[in-house]
Amino acid sequence: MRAGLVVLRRLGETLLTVFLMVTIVFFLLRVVGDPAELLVAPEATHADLDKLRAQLGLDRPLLEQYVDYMRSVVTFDFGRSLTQNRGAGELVGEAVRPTLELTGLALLIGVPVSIILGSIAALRRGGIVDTVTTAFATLGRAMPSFWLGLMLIITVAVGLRWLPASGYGTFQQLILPSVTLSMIVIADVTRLTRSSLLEAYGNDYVRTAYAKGAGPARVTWFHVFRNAMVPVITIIGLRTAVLISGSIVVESVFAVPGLGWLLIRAINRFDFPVVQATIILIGFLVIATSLLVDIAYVLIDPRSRSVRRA
Amino acid sequence: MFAGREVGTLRSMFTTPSALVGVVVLATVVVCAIFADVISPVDPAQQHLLYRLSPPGTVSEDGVTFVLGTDGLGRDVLSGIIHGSRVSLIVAVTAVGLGMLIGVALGLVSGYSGGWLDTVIMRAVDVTIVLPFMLMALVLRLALGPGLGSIVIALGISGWATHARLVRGEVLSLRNKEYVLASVANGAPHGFIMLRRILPHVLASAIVLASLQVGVTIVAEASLTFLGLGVPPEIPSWGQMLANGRDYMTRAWWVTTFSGLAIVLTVLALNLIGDWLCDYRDPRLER
Repeated sequence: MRAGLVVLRRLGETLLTVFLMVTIVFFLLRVVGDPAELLVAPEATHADLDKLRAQLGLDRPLLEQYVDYMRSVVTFDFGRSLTQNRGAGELVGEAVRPTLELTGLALLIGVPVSIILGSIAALRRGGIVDTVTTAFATLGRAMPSFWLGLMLIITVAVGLRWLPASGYGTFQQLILPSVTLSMIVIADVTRLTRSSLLEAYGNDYVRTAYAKGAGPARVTWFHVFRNAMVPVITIIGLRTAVLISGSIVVESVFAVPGLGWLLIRAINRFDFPVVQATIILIGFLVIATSLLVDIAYVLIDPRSRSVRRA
Repeated sequence: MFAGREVGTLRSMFTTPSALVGVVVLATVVVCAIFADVISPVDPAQQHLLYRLSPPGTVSEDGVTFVLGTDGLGRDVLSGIIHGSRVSLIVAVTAVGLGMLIGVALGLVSGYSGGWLDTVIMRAVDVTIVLPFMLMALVLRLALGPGLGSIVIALGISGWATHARLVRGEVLSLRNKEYVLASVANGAPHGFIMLRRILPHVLASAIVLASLQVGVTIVAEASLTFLGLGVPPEIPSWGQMLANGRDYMTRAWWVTTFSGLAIVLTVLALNLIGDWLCDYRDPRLER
């Protein structure tokens, strides 16, 4: 009952955030920037620019444009692509699947690996696994994902010829980009799992559990682990949002036809409606992810139902 | 809150091996950036057309050694990396400084004044923070158009919200301290209280946060440049070298490998220093 109310409230907040995000994107691209400038070749004249503005309706009053734009966004009408004779919404819709597959697989790889590595590091504190894992995580945090991707292409795809270097369609082609992307998760979550477990071991309830006769295995799995995972889930959620934006670069490296690849291609081809639609959809996915994480939070941790998050 | 601990700062740095490594590596990068013209073996723009894509260690007929090899136009990779450090550091530090300036100012006002101003600023923070740094920077860069200035502003503005949230939290806890209330009772103007009584105490945390942001910003700048949306191609930068090297990556691994390693080492050094600062100055920031 209470959980339902909290979820409903978060849903309302999310809608407001989406609305604000779309508004910000509108004003940034239309007011700070000039879509017409993005669209024409550098050698275009002022007359060309004015003609294009009139054609796109950019010469109308701003408020009118804004209302129009909001109305079309609500109906998922993002206008037509300027380079392909198709709707921008249609193009974006096709690109969602590769991006979701990529981020999904990256999570499937990244989350178990980091929780296992982080747990071993915490349970064998100061041991070899701990040292190696910590060094690995520190290095991972410093590594730009596109560079890791390029290195994997050079070694695994070109050198060893184990996996294809780029493209999309087969499962093999998804492996290298997902592994690259999963590093974003592994670097942070491993570290946090380790510190969170160590912190949880210091709690009073651990001593109580031991006093009541629970064995080390029971204490670790039933008491420590469950509590330690709460902050870990938060970070996984936050990282998932970063994964979606990180896929912009990784998709470009591996030529995966997802949202990021579409966005960069549309930018290079001055295809403004597609650029706008892609940015809004990526923003929407990110916001939706954080909503899902919050809902998961409410279901897992009863405390978050009454206490408002800071 | 931190008074009295400054004395041990240097000593603590020398007893933390990772921090020391970070400082040494970062110092090397900074020296390279400042004295790039003196240090780099050859002019990074000079094209040795007979020695295109030479592997590391190649010696040319006129006695020039290409320590890290050459790129597709016969330019020396090592010299390119040394010169590229300039733009990476300058862009990242200026951008983080800009974000810190905006964030600290708004956080200070938000926490101190409260009321509707606080609500508006915090709502803006929520919306900015929900969008990942890279996406925000990309949208801003598109809006501002190409150029070095717009990439700095785009990266800077994308980082303000974390500062604002952190500073606001600190201001809320400082606002009711006795020495602040004493200042209020003495009739000190609000500006004076904010700048002279509160600001010095929140600055330490803001600097720690900024030190952690510089690494992230270097990576974001390199990513955007790699995508052709960052530093203009005529300025030598690590992201640009990576993008160029990608075209002949299968034949000449050294161009992408070494220019990327330069980023990894620099960011690693910054993170090691940031982590140490974090642990040492303000354990609350650690996450």
